[in-house]
Amino acid sequence: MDGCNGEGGRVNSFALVDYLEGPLGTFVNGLRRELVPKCKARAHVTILPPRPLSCSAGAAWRELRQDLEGVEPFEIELEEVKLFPKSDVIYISIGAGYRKLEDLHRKLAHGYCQFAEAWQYHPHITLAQQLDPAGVAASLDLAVHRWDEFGHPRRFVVEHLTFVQNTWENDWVDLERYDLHSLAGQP
Amino acid sequence: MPMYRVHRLKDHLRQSFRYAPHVSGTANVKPRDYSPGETVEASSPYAAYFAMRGAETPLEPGDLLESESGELRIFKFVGFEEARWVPPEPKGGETRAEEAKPEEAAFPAKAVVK
Repeated sequence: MDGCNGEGGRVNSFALVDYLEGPLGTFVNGLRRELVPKCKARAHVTILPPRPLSCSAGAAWRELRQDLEGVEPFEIELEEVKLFPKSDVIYISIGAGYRKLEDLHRKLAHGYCQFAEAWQYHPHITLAQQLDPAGVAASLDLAVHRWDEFGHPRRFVVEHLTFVQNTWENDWVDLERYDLHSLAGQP
Repeated sequence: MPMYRVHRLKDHLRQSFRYAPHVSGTANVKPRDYSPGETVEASSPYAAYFAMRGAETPLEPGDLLESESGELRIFKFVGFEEARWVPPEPKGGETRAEEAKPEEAAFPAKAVVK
């Protein structure tokens, strides 16, 4: 899908994410809305943080698909609720699979998707951002409490990557999806 | 309420810490890179961070919090992460007893903790 110049309310800002599904996704979506009631974003882990493109979205997507060939699904484990102190973003950290996310980010952040990112890539699951500074401590406590209560597996498999585009309303629109395939058993 | 001792990263090391790439996992820290700081009463490392945030000397990236049981947490741009003291490398021959126990050698003032 093309249209990276703000047509139809869309802006030149693209990202690659993997949405959390199942009980873990339901939990994170619910907690995000509990912490920030207006939050509309789906729970996800970001592979390529938002970036502008100097080409069409279609061209960038074709390049990404080529780079993703041969990448197998992999599992990541969520660890603990933390805070980015500089931005007051509350998040769940990633343990197992962290390196694989870093490797995948490095593999994809070139060519059309090359971009001088403002922050060093640190994969995580965002729970809340743009909070009232006076409420950050309480929100963090609540998130820690909810995460302690979560009784389902804290692992999920990264296998369905979605290319998304931002809008003027700061919504993210799904453009394309790529399913990673296991190479096990193939000749 | 738990008590945490603050260990301040020495000023001349802050710049390099600030620009060092993030490494996940437990951080190895050297006692010689830190100066003993104040103690803070808080329910968790983050509660300590918030308690000190508006103070004259807030926690800065690179600083450590040590719990009463000796657990270390290092304050980074990504929040708190686990840390551990690494003993100084022996100078030549044998390692002296106090060098093998850096937490006791470098921070003997446990009595200061309320």
